[in-house]
Amino acid sequence: MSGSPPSSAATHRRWPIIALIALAAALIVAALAGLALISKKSDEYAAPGLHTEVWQAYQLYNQLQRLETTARGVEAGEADAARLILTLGVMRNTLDPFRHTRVFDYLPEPRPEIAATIERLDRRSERWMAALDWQKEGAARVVAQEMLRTLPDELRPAHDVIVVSNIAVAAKLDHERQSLQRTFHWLTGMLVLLATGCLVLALKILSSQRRSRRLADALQALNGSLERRVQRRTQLLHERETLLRTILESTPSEAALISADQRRVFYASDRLLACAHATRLEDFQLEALFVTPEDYRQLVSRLDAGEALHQIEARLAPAAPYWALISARPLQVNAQSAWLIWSLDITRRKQMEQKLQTLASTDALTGLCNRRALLRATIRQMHAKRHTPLSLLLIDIDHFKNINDKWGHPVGDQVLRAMAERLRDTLRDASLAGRIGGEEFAVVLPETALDRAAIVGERLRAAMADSPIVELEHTPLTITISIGVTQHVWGESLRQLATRADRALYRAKHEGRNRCCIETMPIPRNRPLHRAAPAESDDIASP
Amino acid sequence: MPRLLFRGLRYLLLLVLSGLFAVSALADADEPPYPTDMPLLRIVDAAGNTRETLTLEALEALPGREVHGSIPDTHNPEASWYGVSLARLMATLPIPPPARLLAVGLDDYSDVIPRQDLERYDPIVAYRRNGHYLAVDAYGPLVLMYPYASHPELHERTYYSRTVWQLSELRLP
Repeated sequence: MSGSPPSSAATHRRWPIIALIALAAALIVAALAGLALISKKSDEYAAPGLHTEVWQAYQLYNQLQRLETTARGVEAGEADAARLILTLGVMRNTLDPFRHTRVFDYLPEPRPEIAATIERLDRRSERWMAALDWQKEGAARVVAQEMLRTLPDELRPAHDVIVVSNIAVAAKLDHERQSLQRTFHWLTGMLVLLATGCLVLALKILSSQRRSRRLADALQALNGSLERRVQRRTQLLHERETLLRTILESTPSEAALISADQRRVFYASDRLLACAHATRLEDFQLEALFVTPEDYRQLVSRLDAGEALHQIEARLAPAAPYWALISARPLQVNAQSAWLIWSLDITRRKQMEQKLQTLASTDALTGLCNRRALLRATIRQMHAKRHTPLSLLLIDIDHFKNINDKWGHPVGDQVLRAMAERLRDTLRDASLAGRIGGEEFAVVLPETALDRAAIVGERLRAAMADSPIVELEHTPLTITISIGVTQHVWGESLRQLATRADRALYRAKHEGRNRCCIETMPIPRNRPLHRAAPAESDDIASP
Repeated sequence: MPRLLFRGLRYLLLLVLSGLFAVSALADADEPPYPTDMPLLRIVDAAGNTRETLTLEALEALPGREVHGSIPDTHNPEASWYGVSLARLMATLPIPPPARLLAVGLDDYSDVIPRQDLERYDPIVAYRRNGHYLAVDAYGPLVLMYPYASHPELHERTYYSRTVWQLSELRLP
């Protein structure tokens, strides 16, 4: 309401300082004035004061009497001229101080008759002195007579000189006393002022000191609290960092955080360090992590493009490779571009996958491909190498039902396993051999023309028929097989191929088993390639 | 030409006049305002017998010494004083230097001069002030003078009192 509060507060704070400065200035001025006064007084008292006027007045009176006595002696012829001159000289000399003294100025009331007396005596004595001569006794007598006439009347004024001198000296002494007293009063006042000033300054210093101590205490407390807060904060951060690290290290996946220029590694889990063959963070090299440089290059180029990667499979740790699922994304760490890379060990998953794959594509009993796997492989071959010939052999064990019936299913299974074994032994590449039915097998021969396939079929037939397939209680069991062979024709489906092979097999069965029949299609150019097939193969040979 | 001659004559006149003044001043300085054979200072022993009487000639026969100062209580300005060292004067006596002696003036003023003053300050019995002899009505003919100018500590009532003017007598204890 009244004036601006900040400026009035500032004025309020400033005025004691101004007052203090004024006080200090006053003290300095007072001290200087005191010094000047003391110096002046000291000069005044440097030499002894003149207070000898009473004595000199007495001397004047005394010498006048003496002069009178001497003059009387001269008149009587008892003293000579020299004596008179000397006495007159001494008397005249006593007048000299009175010609210069200022002591009569101190008289409360002026006494002009004193100066007149001195003046008269000086004039007369001067005349007498001029009239006298050291050798002229006559002149001395004349002067002596005049002295005797005059001097008795001068004794009373000379006495007055003594009295007035005494009054004047007393007055002068009192004046000096008063002056000294004034000086002392003045100095006392000055000292009181100085003492007061010193007291005020001392109080101010004391209060300032107290205030500064209070401020220092407050500052220290503040500092302490700040330190505690910083400590608490640091601890919290540390705890959070530890927690984060624990979480990171507890996750089944590995993580690394590196700057985009790969110069700085912020974090890398221990396993990743080991995988990159590094012991310290500074030695970690992303490239060293990958088995395949191509994987590394792809990762970097996609991250450089600002892309995030999700679950890319890659093989890590060149020293002991394993499959990992990599996820990565670019981000900002302390205003710096960085990459966060996660990796998950999927070795077990891969193994499982492999196992499942194997399980899905293998015939459990014989270990050969199952029907589905073989069909797939065949289609793959047909598509991959469509300009090369491909042949299919369909194989069936002759009279397999009889074996089962006679020896039981376990022996049947044993026969099937041995059959697969013999297929593997006989074929150069058994990867495309499979069991496609109960006692039915198929072999796909890539890059093999029909004639060549027929030779292979015949070799298989011979391999089965030539020696017993299993030994049963010292009884060798021999089986025979029937084979249908055909070659794939360009543009033909697998079904068509299989149907034709099946027809060839049927013919082989029909023609008496233990033989290999070929079927050439679709060109109706029957070109049987029958090898001599033993007729007895219809039955299971038994020794 | 006549002007130049006039100026030359004027200078000559000035020179002659100043020469005359100088001679008269010298005559004044050399002539004491009292008879030279007049006894100026008596040395009296304890019994009151005069041991020695010194005239101006006798004093001037002794080696001189100069001090600077002024007679206290007289308003006279500082002057150079020339005379005989009191210690030197006492040494002429056939007695050992006394511990103290009394200096007495023509006006019967007197004060005691201790021997230490003679040793420390060597005051003189002066008979000339600024080269001139002293008349009896001008504090003369002799003044016992202390060297105030060279010893400021002498500005005390004690030494002021010992500065006896119109000195006429030295009394031995």
